[in-house]
Amino acid sequence: MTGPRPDPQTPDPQTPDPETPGARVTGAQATGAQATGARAGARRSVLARSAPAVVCSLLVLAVSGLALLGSETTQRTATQMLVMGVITVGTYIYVGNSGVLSFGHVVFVGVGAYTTALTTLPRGLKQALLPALPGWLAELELGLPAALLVSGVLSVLVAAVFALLTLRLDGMAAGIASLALLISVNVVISNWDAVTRGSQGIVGIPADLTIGTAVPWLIGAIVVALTYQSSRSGFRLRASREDPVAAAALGIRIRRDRSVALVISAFVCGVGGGLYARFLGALTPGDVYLQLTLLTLLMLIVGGIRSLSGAVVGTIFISVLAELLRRIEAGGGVGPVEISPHPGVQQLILALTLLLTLLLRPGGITSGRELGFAPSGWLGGRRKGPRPGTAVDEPATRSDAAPPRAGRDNVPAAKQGHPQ
Amino acid sequence: MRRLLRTSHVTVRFAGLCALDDVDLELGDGEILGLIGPNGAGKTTLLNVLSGFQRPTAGEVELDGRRITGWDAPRRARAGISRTFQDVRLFPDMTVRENCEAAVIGSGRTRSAARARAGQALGWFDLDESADVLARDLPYGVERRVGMARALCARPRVLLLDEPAAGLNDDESAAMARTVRRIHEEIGCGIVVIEHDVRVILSLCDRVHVLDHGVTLRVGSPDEIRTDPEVVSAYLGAEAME
Repeated sequence: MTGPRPDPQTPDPQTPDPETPGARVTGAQATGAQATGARAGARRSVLARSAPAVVCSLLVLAVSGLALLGSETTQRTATQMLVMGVITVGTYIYVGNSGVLSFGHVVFVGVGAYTTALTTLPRGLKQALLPALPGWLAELELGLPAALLVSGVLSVLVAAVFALLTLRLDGMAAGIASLALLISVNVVISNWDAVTRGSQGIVGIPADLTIGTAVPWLIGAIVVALTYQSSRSGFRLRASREDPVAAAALGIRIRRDRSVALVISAFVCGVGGGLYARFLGALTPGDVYLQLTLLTLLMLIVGGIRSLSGAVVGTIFISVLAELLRRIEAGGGVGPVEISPHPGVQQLILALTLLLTLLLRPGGITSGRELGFAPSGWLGGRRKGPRPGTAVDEPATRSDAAPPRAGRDNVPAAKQGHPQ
Repeated sequence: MRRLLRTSHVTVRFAGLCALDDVDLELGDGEILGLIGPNGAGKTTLLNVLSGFQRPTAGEVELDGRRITGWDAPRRARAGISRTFQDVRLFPDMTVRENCEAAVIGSGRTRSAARARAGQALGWFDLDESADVLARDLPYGVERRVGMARALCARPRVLLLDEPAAGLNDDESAAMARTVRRIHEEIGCGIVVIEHDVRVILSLCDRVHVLDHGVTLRVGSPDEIRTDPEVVSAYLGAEAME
């Protein structure tokens, strides 16, 4: 109010004149000087660009390491968190970079889950459960990595159909179309008795997933996501997310780049689905339906849908919060304190968390920023605001406020990239 | 002068409203063509027809003698038609440099080409200091310069400018006109410029195309336009006669 700022339309008086001497550089001089700067810049930016992947991976390793010290239940929760991480990061690759909300990514998770279930189920059990299965599939028994890759590839094939149906749509229409697809696929899974055993589900999948076997896949997903995000296609897609009209005017073929993102996203989600099947051990159509869709979106939105760090931070934050709430819900002792059972408290608080995020911090915990360690890197020094890590400050305190006793398990949430 | 861009009999109707009616526009290679007319004359609609954002109801658009009427905006951008917007439309969460690079990477070129061209364009508009500022944090006047720098990074053969001096003060408008001139000398592209500031148009353009209610009122040199009684009464007013 004090300074002379009449109206936003009035240009800044300090705006330098474009004609100032020195601004006039001949093309040749400019290119020469910039080539040197560009090489140095390229080296710096490669380092700075990989920073989010490194920081996210370290975060995942730190939380997993802490969980290893905990009880068997804690370890199982952590494994689930890692699986959810793969699914969330996979969904992020498309949703985060394109800005198009999708309720349909759990379709890819479902395809991956059933593929891994069917290809890793012990032969004898498979023949007993699913006698109508084609011979070659009944005989097939793959190791986990092979099964996961097959799952990813099949999800990509489904994504190709998905792309034909929904890539022409935008915004609300795209969201609704993807939801319709999720419902259709669920109907198929629920009734394809010969292959999926319908609503009875598939049991006896080797449920041998541990923190140790899940971590590499999540780190792999993070690396894939960051590689795409910093690729030229990822850059174009992010530009189109910011302003599709301006993007088109610059030659960006939005649908093409969306297809690329969708294929990569579907692959990662398919792998995540495979891990999910191996985590659950028993798979029914309900496991890969609305609840999982909502959980994925909850993690993305609370963490910050516009950045990879947001997907990772959101997964960790919601997983830790959900586990704490589950314990409160169940009642009994949390540390030294006795708590009476509070049924329903988990769903309630998670819903409130989503609501509060949308109201108070619509950009999520990370607000579209990436975690990084470069002080003047491509995201670190750009804004006048605090270092990226401090952005996580707020939700950490919020998690203190939500459950009455946070206890030891709150450590990961409070630790999220806080540099001090 | 070789003909670079041309529309013939372009008509655009929006549900009964005729925004453009049988408009023939020609742009020579290396020419600066001013597009003027009162509000609602159809100037921006014509620019949208040229850049592929508006499919004409009837008529054709040609680039270098090639029919491009059915091409969408990205394809035209890749063919060398670049434009700015009245409301600038920068990518708010990207830096000034990234905004410029998007114009090069957007049409499929390499990162190193993008870095070199962005660096050069930032120099032209004296934006080096703002290179790493997010577009959302820019003051309005700087925003406009970034919009123009971004369009030029695409190395267009045809540059379409939609009110480049809108909202700028007199000094800034004059500076903007000088910059357009200078860049034009350096790159040598054809330019179609919509502008309300008559002084900018008359000092900058080789030819002026006057639209009124979707119809071509007159095409001619700045001097002819300035003294044309019909144009003066429809649009320019007395001040341009001075």
